[in-house]
Amino acid sequence: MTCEEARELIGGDPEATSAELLSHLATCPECQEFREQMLALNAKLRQALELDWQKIQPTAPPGAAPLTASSDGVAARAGAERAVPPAVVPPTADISRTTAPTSAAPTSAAPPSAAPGPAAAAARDAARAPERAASAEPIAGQPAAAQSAPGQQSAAQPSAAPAVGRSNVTPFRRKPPAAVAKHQRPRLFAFGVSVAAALLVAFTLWLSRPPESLAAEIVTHVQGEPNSWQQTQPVPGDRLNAVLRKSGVKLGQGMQPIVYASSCWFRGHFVPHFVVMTNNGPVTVMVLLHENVPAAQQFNEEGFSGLLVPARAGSVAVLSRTPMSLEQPASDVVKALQSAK
Amino acid sequence: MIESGRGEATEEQLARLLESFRPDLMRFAFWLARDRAVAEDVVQETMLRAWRARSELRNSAALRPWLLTIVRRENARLHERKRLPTVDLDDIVESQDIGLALNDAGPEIADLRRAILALPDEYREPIVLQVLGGFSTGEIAKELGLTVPAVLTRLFRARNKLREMYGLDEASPGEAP
Repeated sequence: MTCEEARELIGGDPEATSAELLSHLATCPECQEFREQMLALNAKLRQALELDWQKIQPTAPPGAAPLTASSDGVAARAGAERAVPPAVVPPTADISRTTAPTSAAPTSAAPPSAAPGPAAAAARDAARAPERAASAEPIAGQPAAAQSAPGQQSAAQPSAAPAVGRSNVTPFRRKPPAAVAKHQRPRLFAFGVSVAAALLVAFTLWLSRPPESLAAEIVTHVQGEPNSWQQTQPVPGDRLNAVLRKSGVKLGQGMQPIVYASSCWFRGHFVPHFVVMTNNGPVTVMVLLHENVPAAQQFNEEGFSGLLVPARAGSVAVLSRTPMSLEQPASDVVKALQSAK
Repeated sequence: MIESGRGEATEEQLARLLESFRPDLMRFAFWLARDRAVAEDVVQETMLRAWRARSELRNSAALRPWLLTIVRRENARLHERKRLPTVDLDDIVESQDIGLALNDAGPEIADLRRAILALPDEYREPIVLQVLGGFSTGEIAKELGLTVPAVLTRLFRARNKLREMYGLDEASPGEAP
């Protein structure tokens, strides 16, 4: 056995006494010293782990109901609880191990009532949830031993111990609701705040999105009707009137020939879309009664030249496929545009 | 029902026997859970389960390790089931400080207790099983579902960590493996 192996074994179990280890220790004073240190540490560890549980129990408030025998509590609870399979297989005869509690827990069964631990726990429970303590089934389904009269319990309990009853049955402890809520509230609050913040950010982004420009939408729409530019014959008057009437407008005098007319769905409304044959070529006109522009706006998009001008109601868009002045055709349309009512 | 020296133990005797283990179980549960209230819950549940299975008990000598095993599993179940809130390790140590200080073992042992509380579960559990529970390395391996060498390594590291935290490093006679 090497020193490394020996120390790993000692560190894992300082009290190990395998022949191989002992043989190594006999020839290695350093490992022997290491073992002694580990044994010393183990002794302190044992001392540290052997907490005096009863001393660190919180003091029971005055007037708290005493607990007679915790075994009664166990028995009472066992009867009241639904049957659940044991967590582990109970020990059988083939399991050998020395028993006896390691500390102040005499097998002669010191009266459990003397132990402040369970009593304090019961008192705390009673203080936290009196209704729970009061509703605890005292001896329902309790084994015969636990149900026996106080006199019969004298072997296990002091004669002064009160009888088993509601007041001295340890209620099943639960986490106080407030303690649970204390831990959960910040989480719920944080979750709520996170969701609200995310929604707020999303809404803000949606609001601040760059709106698609009106000019771009007009161009896109006009591109969708390429045949409109090919027309050369004037649109019959009734056809033109029908298109205009659909949007509640009509055209007066002074317009050059209109060679295409259609009522188109644009930005949520039917708008008159027509092509005027000017001396410089065809121009497309869209009467946008629901789109207001503060002043005339020129634009060039996708090879189209355009002009948006305010009208009495809404605005008028005029486009051409070739560079040309659009002020005159736009002015003509604005002047000719009248309400159909 | 377990066998007593004079034959089968009565339920009353068994109840008293179970109760006599309560301090041990409380202590053990506390070191596993690092919380007095949780430890009390665990021990109550352990007692209840033991009582329910009382008719199957056969060997009183195995009662204590059996109870400790239930405590360990109940503690694990409680944490699994309730998803207990995680708290800072320093808060745990601080919150238990009153209890630790109440013990009259002196500041040295109180420091060691704080060091044990600060150990990660994977190191604290085997060391508590070994030193407090009296389990052999083989039994710890079986409990934790590990191999014996793995348990030895954890125990070794646990002790090393405790020595570091506890300030015993200078006393070490050389580097450990």
